[in-house]
Amino acid sequence: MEIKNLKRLQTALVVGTVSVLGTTAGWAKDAKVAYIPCGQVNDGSWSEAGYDGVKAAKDALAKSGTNITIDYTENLSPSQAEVAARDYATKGYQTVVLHCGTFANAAYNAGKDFPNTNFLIVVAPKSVKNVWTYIPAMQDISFVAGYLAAKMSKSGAVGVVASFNFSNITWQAEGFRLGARYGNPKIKTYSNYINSFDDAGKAKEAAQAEIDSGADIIYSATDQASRGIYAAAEANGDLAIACYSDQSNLSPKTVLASALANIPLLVENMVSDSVAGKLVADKVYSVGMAGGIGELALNPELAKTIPPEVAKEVQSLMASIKSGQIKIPAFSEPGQSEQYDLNGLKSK
Amino acid sequence: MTLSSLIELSFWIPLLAAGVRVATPLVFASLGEAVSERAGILNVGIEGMMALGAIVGFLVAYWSGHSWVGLLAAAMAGLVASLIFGFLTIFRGADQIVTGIVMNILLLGLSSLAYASIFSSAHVVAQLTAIPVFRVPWLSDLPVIGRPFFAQSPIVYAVYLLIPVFWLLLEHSHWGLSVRAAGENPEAVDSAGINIWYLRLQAVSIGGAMAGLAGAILAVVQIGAYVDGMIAGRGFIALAIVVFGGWRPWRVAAAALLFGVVDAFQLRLQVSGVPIPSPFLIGMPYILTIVVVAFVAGRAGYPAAINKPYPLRHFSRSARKLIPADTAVVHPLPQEHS
Amino acid sequence: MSMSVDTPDADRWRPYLLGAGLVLASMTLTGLVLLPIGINPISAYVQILKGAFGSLNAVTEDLVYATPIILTSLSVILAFRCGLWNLGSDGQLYLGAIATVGLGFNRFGLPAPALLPAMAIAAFAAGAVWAALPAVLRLRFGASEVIVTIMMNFLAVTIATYLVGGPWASGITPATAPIVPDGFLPVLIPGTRLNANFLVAIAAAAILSFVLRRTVFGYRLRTIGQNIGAARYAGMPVNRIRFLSFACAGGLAGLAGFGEVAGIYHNLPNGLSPGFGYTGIVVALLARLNPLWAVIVAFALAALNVGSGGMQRAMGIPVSLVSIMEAVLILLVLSTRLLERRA
Repeated sequence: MEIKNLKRLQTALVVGTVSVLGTTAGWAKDAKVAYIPCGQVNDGSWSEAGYDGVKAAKDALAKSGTNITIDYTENLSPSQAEVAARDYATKGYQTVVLHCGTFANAAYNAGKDFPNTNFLIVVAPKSVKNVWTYIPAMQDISFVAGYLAAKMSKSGAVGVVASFNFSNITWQAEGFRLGARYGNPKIKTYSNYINSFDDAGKAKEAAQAEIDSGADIIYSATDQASRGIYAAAEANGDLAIACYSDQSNLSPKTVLASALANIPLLVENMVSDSVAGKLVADKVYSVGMAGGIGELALNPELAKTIPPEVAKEVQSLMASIKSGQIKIPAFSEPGQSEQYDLNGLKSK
Repeated sequence: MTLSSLIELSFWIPLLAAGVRVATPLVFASLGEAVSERAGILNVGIEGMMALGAIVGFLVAYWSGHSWVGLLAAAMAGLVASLIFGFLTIFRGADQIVTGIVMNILLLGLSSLAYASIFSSAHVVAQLTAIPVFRVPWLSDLPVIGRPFFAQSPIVYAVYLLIPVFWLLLEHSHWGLSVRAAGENPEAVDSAGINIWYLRLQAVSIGGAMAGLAGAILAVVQIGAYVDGMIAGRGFIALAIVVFGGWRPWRVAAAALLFGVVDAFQLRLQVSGVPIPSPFLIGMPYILTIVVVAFVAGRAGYPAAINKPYPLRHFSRSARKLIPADTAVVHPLPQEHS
Repeated sequence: MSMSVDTPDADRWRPYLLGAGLVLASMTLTGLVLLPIGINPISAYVQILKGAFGSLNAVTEDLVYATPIILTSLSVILAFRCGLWNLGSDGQLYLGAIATVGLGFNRFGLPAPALLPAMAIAAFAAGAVWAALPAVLRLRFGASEVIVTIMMNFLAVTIATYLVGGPWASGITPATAPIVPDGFLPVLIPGTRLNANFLVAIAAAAILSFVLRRTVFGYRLRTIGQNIGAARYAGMPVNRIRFLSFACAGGLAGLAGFGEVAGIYHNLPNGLSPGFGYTGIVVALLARLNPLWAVIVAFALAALNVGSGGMQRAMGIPVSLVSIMEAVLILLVLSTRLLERRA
């Protein structure tokens, strides 16, 4: 009897030690990853892009032998996000991804109390200990979108409709306007903030206001509300440029191109590095085109309408930004791009 | 475009056209709600019914390929929702405002769940084909008002027909008279032998159907897609417009138009060069509504019997007549006119 | 929920039995919806209980979530009791939050012990001011406070959004800059988020209950709510009392905003209130306008919410299903005559 019990005790000890060792963050063979976005994972926009990244990380890690399981919670207020983050950390999740700007406090607070879990937070001020922030520097690709719009505009005016006057969104809007000036110094650019992520009706009227003032290509910096922009563009025979994901199939006749922030790629890299323990301490992962974040996906149907010289110029512009020859500034205030001296773009 | 262009017609004519577009779904919802409120039922749940109409209208239009089928389905969905609301408030004496709020939670949740369950991702959902603008011959060439009022989507012309229909229905028909009486003096209606509960149910169903239709117009006709949260408070705005317009169809429509113009104004200002308007400029439609409601309501408030369930009666076999239901419905929550 | 002394025992228990029956009915209904999706309703409900009560952290999270709801429901109750609808507690909450953050930057250099009380008073005052306008328009011009308060809600959010994106921006996150540490509400249980505003909420409920039942002001207020003609005939300063009550109601909601800013976020983020105001209205009704019951009901609703979050995490049930469940339960309650007062 005693020998059997001893053996059981031994097995339990071994199993226990292995599982304890196995759940230490950093070099787990099997890990649990939690994903907490702003909205829903099938919204076709910001939240879905992040989810695609987490899924891509799962595939990438599986190839190198690490299996991760993904769980997500949607549509949380900032306070509930903290509850969720803490709960996941308590349950032993290795990485918790908070893919929403308003969840910064949740990440830092949870990070303090759960030092063994990695927290990834998007668009936050700093990385501290076990909390890392990743920032897609979308002004780069928005600049390229603006350049393309200016070259393709027949009316000499383009516009952007943005959701909120929050930093990383204003970067996109002003980046677009700057790029448009770079493509055509005489271009007129408009911007409109609708104070909503999902009010498609307002987005439509904002786009229409710009179209009525002469703009014929509208850039979307509005998440799901961009549907309204496409409706307005379609009604007037104008074009639109989408953001965050390739949306050509949503409105094939109006979406000229999509400014991909490669959010999936950024999130994938972050999650993979986090699970493998490769994240650099206290580093803010602000990644622009030089780091692979930023691609222009052309609408196959409308790509033929782009003159070949324009297409070539866009390519070389993207190459310059990737190599660092041209640095795109990040403007946090609407209208700042109008006064900026274009010569300052080229880094010495 | 500079601020000086504000005095040019080229600013105001497109603004007026924008106002008409913004007002269109609001007019649908407000006309229906005006009928409901005239009968004594305040339906705070129209926000949720608009969302339900948006998703149902979109789904049916998407699958059938015809917009009008979607609109019809949305009206029916709104009707069903308002029947539930009506049952609870008319026949079970539930408080109208709280029931309306809970209906909002229910219907917004249902709409969101339906969209999320049916489509794996918003990416697979292409925009519905837009219905082209129809320029009414001759009328659309009128100076100033031609383009805004007569070069619009056909649904706008449907509104032009609906306003006189509602006006006739509410102000110049027998049914309308009973409905208005039900809201002001339900005992009189009851003693006239009219089934007041059924009458109120009819009124609230019209309100619900119109709300569903309004949501579908936004989703199917104006945007061509369903977006979670796309109603964005329009249901509550409709409540305000009903009061703003004094419960009379023509004035309600005018109030909606005014609201639409003021709402679109700040967007056009941003394009004219005002980088970020002050919050009071963005909130101008709400401030305007508060100001108007303060001075309109002084003259005519909510119908006297609003939010007061009328006590039910049942047939007593022993007494062989109708007697009041044994739970006297004394309303626990305050009335509008106290 | 007072019953007369000579009610037979069976009748006294009827409402509670009915309530329990309703909960079961709504659980069954929702279970029927969950089964076709392939989810076991029993385990879903077990997860809800676990999520709400399974650990100290869970229970404190219930209290954290309940705190603003208690305050907004008290706000609604206070207004209702004198015959006015306060649908604007969300907007008053935002104004309270704005005042809290504004003072919380401590640009005036207040000494540390004075900062927190100053923020609380400012939040109360801001909420009261935001409620005073609809009150004046109602009492002086007869303007429907239902409409005006709803419009004020929109306005409040617009102002908050402007401040978050503009003058008070933090630089990168969609929230204002943080308040100084002197302005943080003390945490009641270390390691949790339960902060002192919970005590403020309980105290407010106790004070309101006392005022309503034991003071002259409360007596006058209740009279106005039940029979305004009699109140006027008795010579009570009806308008003054109603105005004071409505303003105080706004102040209570403002304190909810104070708690969220000073106790939870330490700044003002975008999307501060997930509808606390409207939940407060529902709680006020379910509690039959009794402040002490409101605390219980708010806790129950908060536990349901927090528990559903746990269920969502454990079982992957879409979040909208949870709000549908709650709405169905409340609609079922409304369909009974449970909440009517007998004549």
